[in-house]
Amino acid sequence: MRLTTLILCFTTGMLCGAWANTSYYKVVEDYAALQQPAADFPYQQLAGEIKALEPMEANRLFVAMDSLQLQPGGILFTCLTEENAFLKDTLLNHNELSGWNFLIRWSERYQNFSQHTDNDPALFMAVGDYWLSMVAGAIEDSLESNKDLSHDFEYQFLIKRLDENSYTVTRPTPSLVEKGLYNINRGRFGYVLSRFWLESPWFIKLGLLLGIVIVLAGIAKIFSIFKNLIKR
Amino acid sequence: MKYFLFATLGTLLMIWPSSQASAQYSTSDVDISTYPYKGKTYHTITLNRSKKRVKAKYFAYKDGNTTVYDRYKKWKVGRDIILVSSGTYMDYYNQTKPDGLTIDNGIPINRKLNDFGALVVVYATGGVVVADIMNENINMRCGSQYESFNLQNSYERSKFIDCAQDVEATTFQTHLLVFEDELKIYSNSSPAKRERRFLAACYYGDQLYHVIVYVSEYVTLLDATREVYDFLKQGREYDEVVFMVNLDTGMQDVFNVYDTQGNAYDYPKGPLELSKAVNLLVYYYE
Repeated sequence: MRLTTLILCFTTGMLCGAWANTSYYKVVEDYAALQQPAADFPYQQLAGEIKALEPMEANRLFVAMDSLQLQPGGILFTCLTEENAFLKDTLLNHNELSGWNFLIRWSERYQNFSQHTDNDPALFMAVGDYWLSMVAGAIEDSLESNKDLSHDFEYQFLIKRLDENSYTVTRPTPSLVEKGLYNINRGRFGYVLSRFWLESPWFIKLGLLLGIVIVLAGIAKIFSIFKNLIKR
Repeated sequence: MKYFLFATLGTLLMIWPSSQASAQYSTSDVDISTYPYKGKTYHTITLNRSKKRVKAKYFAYKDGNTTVYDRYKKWKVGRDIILVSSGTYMDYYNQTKPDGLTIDNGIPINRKLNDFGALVVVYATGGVVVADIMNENINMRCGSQYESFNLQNSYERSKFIDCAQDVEATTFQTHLLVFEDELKIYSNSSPAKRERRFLAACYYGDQLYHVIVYVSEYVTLLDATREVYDFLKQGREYDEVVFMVNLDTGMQDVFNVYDTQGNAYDYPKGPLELSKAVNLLVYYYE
C-alpha cells in the first residue's frame, strides 16, 4: 500500500513537474509525511532548498527521487542496486558544478543524519554514498574528456570537497612532461634519470650523451679561453 | 667501571633485538628463487600459507602525521619480515591517497568504488581474501559469522564498511588479473610497458601458496598477465591459480625482500627507498 502510494506520488510529481516548478517540492513534502520512522530528517529544509533552486530541473528531480529512495524495498531502493541509466545520463549531461556541489552538500546531510538515527543508519549512509559516488564518477568522466579541467579552480574545489568526505576522484594519468616536472620539483632527480634511461629509445640516450659531451666540451673550451686571457 | 660495563652490556642487549627485528623465518615456508622461462626471468617469493605461519599486513595510508614508513617501523618491532611491497595505485595529484575503496584498520580512507575488479581484504589476523567484486558478492567475517555483500550496491557497501570497522579489516582495490583459473584482463587494458609485480594465490595439491612474481622486463599488463599465468600453471605446475592481482610498480615502487637473517636482498628490489612508501603490503613470519 505504501509502495503504491509512493509510486503514485512519484509519478504525479514527475507529471506535474513539467508544468509546475513546485511539484518536486510537493513530492518531498508528501514523502516526508509518509516516511514516519525517519520523519526527523530535515525534509522541510530540503524541500525549501529545492524550491529555491532555479533553474536546475535535473537537480530537483534528483533530490526528489533521492528522498523517495529512502523507502527500503521500494522502487527507489532498486535505484541503489542497479545502474539507473536515466539518472546517470541526466547527471552527466547537466554538467553543472553548482548542482554537483548541491548534491555533495545534501549527501553530507544524509550521512551526518545516519550518525544520529537508530532507524537503519546504513541506509542514510548509502543514499549519501550513492550521490557522492555519482558526482565523483561524473567528475572523473569530465576530467577524462578534458584533462585541463584538473587545473580548474571549481573542479579542484569539488574534488577537495569529495576528498573531505573520503571520496577520492581518480584523475587521469598526466603526461610524461608533467610527471617529469612534478618529480624534478620534488628533487627526485635520480628517479627521473633512471625512468628516462629505462624508457627512452637508444637514439634519445645517444643524443643525450652527445649533448652532455658537447656541453662539457664547450665549458672546457670557454674555460681555456678565459685562462689564456688571464695569462696574457 | 663495573657499573659502566653492566650499563654497556644492558644497552647492547636492548638494542640487539630491535636491530635484528627482521630475522629468521623457516625456508620450508618461504622460497625465494629466480626462474628463466620462455625467454623471460621470473623472480618469485613463494609463501606457504597453509601452515598459517606466514601472515600479511597492509598499511593503506598514513595515520595523521605518522607516515606509512613510521607506522611500519613501529609495527615491525619483534616481527620477522619476509618482504615489503607497494600495494595499490595512488592519485597522482593527491600523492598518498589510494585509488579505489580503501579501509585501513577499519577506518575508511576512500569510499569510492573503482572498477579495478579486485577487492583485497587483509584481516587483522593476517589472513588475505580477494574477491571479484564486479561479478560476485564478497563474503566477510563479521563477528562470529560470515556475511555476503554486493559492493555495487551503495546500501550493502555501507554495511560492508560497517563490518570492516567492526573487525578492523584493511581493504584495497587493484586490478584483478586472474580469478579461479580464468583470465580477467582484456585487450583494452593499458598499453604502457614497464616492470611488473603480481600477487598470486595458487594451490599445489591441498597446499595454498601466495606467490609474489616480479618481472623486470618492460611489458604491458596484458602480456605480463598471460605470461605469468602460463609460468605459474605450466612452468611451476600449480594446480590452480585462485587469484592474481597487480601490485603497483609506478611512482611509489617499493619492494624489499629479506633473507633469513633480516638483511634486504640487493635484487629483486624496487627503485624507491622504503621510507618513501605511501602504502605497504607486508608478509611476515610468526
